[in-house]
Amino acid sequence: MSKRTCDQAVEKIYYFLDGEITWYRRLRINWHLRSCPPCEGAFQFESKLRSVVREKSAEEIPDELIERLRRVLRDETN
Amino acid sequence: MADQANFENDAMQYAPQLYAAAMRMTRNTSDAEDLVQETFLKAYRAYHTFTHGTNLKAWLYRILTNTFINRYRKQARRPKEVDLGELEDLYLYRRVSSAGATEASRSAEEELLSGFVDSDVKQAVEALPEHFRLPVLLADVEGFSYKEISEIMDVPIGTVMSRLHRGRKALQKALWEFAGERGLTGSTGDPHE
Repeated sequence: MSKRTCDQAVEKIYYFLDGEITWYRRLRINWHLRSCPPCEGAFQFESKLRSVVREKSAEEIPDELIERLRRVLRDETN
Repeated sequence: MADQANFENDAMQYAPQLYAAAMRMTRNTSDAEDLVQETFLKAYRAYHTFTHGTNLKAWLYRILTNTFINRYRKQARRPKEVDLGELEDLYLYRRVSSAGATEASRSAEEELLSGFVDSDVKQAVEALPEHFRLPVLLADVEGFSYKEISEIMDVPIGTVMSRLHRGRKALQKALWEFAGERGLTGSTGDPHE
């Protein structure tokens, strides 16, 4: 795999994962990834990392806060 | 135009997400709760200006972000922020993987990714300087598009993209440091592993 093709794919990795890329470029990158395990590995890793960040950032909203929000909105209405 | 009477019904579903974002912004529960409350009040009062059928979630995040920047930013407790020197792309991946995408490399990657606990990720996000933290939060946790983030933060799309790029590298550096503390980087540097 030519280094240039790999560089071009990696350069676009975040646009690709963010869905901010044209369908044509997406097709070209997918094509490249199928034949290039190192790049495919990098894309997989970044994608999984994104999921980890999302999942591990979750917070449980306190019930009291929900009640407080409802109360504040009701007070504001009256 | 949206009907104020429907606000509670329409907006309450976003409260849990807004609270999680508020936690990463203010870095403490009591400010996060106050920030969400103020956001809801402001949104309720301005709800007649919201165009029904457009993106309510993005509209609420815009109010949340503005309220945070105007009010809570100054008082937010500041942890030690990550040092942003010149960071290379794929910072984390290049440290954990070995060339050639071997089985051993794949398993080291899996081990690293599955080894992070909630507090590692939360602290790594919170350690980002604010102008990087907000876009990273909005893109990687909340899933907003560049255009939405640009509208929420009121900055040009190009600025969103460059801050996201640097912010993500900084986040990976912070995560790598947590991984080191947790012994998840153990095999690095040992040729016999």
